[in-house]
Amino acid sequence: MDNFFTLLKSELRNQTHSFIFILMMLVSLLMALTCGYIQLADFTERQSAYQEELRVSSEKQRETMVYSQFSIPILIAPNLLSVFHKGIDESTGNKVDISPVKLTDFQTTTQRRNPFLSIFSDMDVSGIVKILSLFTLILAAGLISGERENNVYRLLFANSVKKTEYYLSKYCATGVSVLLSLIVLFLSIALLIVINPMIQITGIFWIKVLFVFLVSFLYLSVFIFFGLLLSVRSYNAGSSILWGVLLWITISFIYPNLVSTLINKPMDTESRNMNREIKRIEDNSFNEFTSLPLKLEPFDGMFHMPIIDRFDSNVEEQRLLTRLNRQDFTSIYAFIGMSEKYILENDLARWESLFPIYFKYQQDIRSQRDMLHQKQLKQQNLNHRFTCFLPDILYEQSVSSLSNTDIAYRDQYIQDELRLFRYQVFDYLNSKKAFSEKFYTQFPKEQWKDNWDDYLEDERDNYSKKDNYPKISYDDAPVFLLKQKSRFPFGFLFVIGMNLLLFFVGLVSFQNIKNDI
Amino acid sequence: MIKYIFLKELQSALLNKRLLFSCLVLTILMFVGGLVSEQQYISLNNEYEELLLENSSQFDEIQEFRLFDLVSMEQNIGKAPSDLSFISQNNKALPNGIRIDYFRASIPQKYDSYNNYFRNFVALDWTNIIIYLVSFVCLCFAYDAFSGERQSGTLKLILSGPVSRWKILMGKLLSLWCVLLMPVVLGIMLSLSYFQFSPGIMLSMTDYAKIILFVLFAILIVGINILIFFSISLLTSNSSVSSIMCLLVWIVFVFVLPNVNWLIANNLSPVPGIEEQNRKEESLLKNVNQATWSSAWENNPPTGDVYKWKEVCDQRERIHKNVWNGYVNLIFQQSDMSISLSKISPFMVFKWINDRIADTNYYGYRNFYTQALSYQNSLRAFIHDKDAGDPESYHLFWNSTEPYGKCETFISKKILQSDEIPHFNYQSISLKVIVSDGVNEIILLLVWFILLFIGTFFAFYRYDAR
Repeated sequence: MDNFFTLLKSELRNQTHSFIFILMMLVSLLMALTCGYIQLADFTERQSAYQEELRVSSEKQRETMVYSQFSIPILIAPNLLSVFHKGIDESTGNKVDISPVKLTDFQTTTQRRNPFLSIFSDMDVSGIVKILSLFTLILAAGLISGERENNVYRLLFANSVKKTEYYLSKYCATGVSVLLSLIVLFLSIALLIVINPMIQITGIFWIKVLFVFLVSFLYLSVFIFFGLLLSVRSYNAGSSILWGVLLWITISFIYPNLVSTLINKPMDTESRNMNREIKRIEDNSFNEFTSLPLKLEPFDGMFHMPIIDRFDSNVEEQRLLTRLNRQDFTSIYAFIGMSEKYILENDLARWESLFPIYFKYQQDIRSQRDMLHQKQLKQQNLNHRFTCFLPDILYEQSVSSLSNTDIAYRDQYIQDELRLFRYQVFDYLNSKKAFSEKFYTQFPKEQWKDNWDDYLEDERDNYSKKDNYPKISYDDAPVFLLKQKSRFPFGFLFVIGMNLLLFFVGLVSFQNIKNDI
Repeated sequence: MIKYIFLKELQSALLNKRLLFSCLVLTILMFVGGLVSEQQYISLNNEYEELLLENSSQFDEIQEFRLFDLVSMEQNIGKAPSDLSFISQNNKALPNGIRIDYFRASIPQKYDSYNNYFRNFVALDWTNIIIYLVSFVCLCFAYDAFSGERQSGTLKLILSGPVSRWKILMGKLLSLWCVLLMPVVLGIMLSLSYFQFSPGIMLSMTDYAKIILFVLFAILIVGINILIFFSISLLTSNSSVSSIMCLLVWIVFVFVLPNVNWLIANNLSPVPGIEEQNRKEESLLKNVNQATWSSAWENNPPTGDVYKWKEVCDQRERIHKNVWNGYVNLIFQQSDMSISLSKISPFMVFKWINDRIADTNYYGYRNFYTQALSYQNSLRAFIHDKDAGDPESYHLFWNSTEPYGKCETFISKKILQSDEIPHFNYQSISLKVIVSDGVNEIILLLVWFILLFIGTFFAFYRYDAR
């Protein structure tokens, strides 16, 4: 093993003095500083928008007067690990209102990006590591073939150097160079995170970063092995480097993009069909509701009841219910004050007949949307099936599952949790008897009177003025706690397997070549 | 003599199996790009036609279509997919539509849905094939054009003959240029002849002219490409060093610069979020006088109260317009800035000019946006025209954000014929506009070419062949 360390030392000296190594360090440092700075600036902006949103929604919550307004806003905090891999962290949205009138679909509130900038690709840390992989390949591909070209190789094996030692020393030296540039990259990002006063970090964060670092190294190590393998098969440094870049461009650029180009089909037909289906469901539910044998008092438009609040039907959030309540129904929804007994009872009868229809309607809409999601996911899964063996995709997969920015976490896991939580909220609402007259008024049933003049001055003051109207308390309402899920990145194992395989293939093919060439 | 060297170099290139193989692969990729984009175009076109149908059915749904219905109707208009998208494919995440009515135009948005889950990718259209792949093949065969010959000693041999250096340079340049353009031209010819027989894409004469323009730019960018690598090859004496240098320049120009520069624009001219903009509008609206509408005013000649109400509504409208027009301007400003910053790389200049030719991506949308706004103006002119012709009308238009207090009874109540209403019709960009708008890019490409040519010539003139 004496030879190994001598070889390693000399190889390390050679590599650290080489032009490409210095360049790699420079590129990783500069890109880490610029991209890291900008990604972190973006993160802090998202965070302040998140806090602002938190404040606004809690203020809104405090004004809840009846149970139809009941809503627990849930905001997904921006994820600091998205600096390492953005994934679908931002594009899916980050706000959900858990309420009886809304489904658990995400809305984007902290969206800050100019939509036209999607023509450029987003540079996160994993993107920088991917560019480093090209440098790694260039660095490794010229090693053995270069020495063969200038006859150092023949000189070496005239001494008692074993091929395994030689091969391992080459790998280790390149590994150290790559490790150094990775350390520069990650340290500069870490430094930027630490000196930023806006960012608070929890303990598990650094452990995850360490894992990302490890995965990045293993990913780059695959390219070292690729480079060495090509270097073994070639007699000339220039040609082996070009073959290396050709390999890189094929597996990292042409193949995955070609597959995506072929598979990508506009999903609009599906979404249009879904919208049409939703419209049909709405019509059906509305017809079902209006055809109920209810004895409804005709609404004459002559209200002597004070209007204390009018729901803004323009607001997107109210869309679901207001679309269903197209015609005469808006009147029930709009007034939540006090009124004469017959009007309030009339409203109650309408609501009670509406609830079952409405919840069924929600379920139908839910299943329609899920169907579209499934179709969209199917497309991506098909894409994934054809590319899952590529180191790039495996790397992306591992880093995004470590950073919790992948589809499985960001969409499916959170969605499932939210749906479970919505059931909890419904249980809570049921325990509060929310799906009764309390849905549209807080004016107690036993105090309803036939004539407007029968009401006391106090009652009128309390129930007909917005400021005096009793507010619903959220004190005992269920609280949503999103458990941070840490998953083992299984792509990681495949990357290790790929490393081992390439190591053995490279070594065997190196053992088989003749020394004297 | 140029001809002789050209033919000799061409012959040696054509005998090079690797070069032929890469040309074959490129040709196939170009052809596949054409086929895929045809399929995409068909399905996108179906979508667009459905959107048009939806819009026209909006007019038909109302039986007695009055002027007020047109004033209050919100139209969802979209950009027609470009039939030249095989040149440069439209990024699916980009907006492609807008909602307009008499009063307002929405911010840029999508009229169709977008698959969030699908991974971001670089579509293999003709532009991207040239930017990423032809340039790489060019690198492989140009990096040792001079340093390699110098190393092997053949350069000394050639220079010892009576041939001038100028002729050697031209011979080498022209032969490589021809070989690299072969797959591009072949792929285009194959795709075009395929389009002739398939019903998916019908190309007009203007389209052919645009494709010719594309080919001209492709010739220029391939020339620039070769000259970049030639000049690097001339600056180094060793083929290994020149290969690494070429790779570096290639990585920087193709991958690093285009993807990093927009981050600078993102910081220099930031765009506020939509939510922030909403809050800004809300806070401004608080300062506007509050007014309440009385239904008793309807169907009567306008009184002072009605004018007051109109003033309040108009004030709100002005605030809305200021806030959101400013937002859209900021978006465009930022995008323009990021695009200009990316023009440091000649490959990106090539991409932007092709976006103009294909009428896709950002420039396609800008073209659509101006057309949509001018359609809104023509719609307004039509409404004013109709209203002015009605003696019973009070000519009072305002936009009430509340569900009550509309201007319905203060404008003309005549019934409109659905065929006289102007419809939005998307016109794809004309050749003249492409050239006049893209003159910066054309000049940039030409400057790159000329500078590199002169630089390469001088470098070769001073090149030490020993």
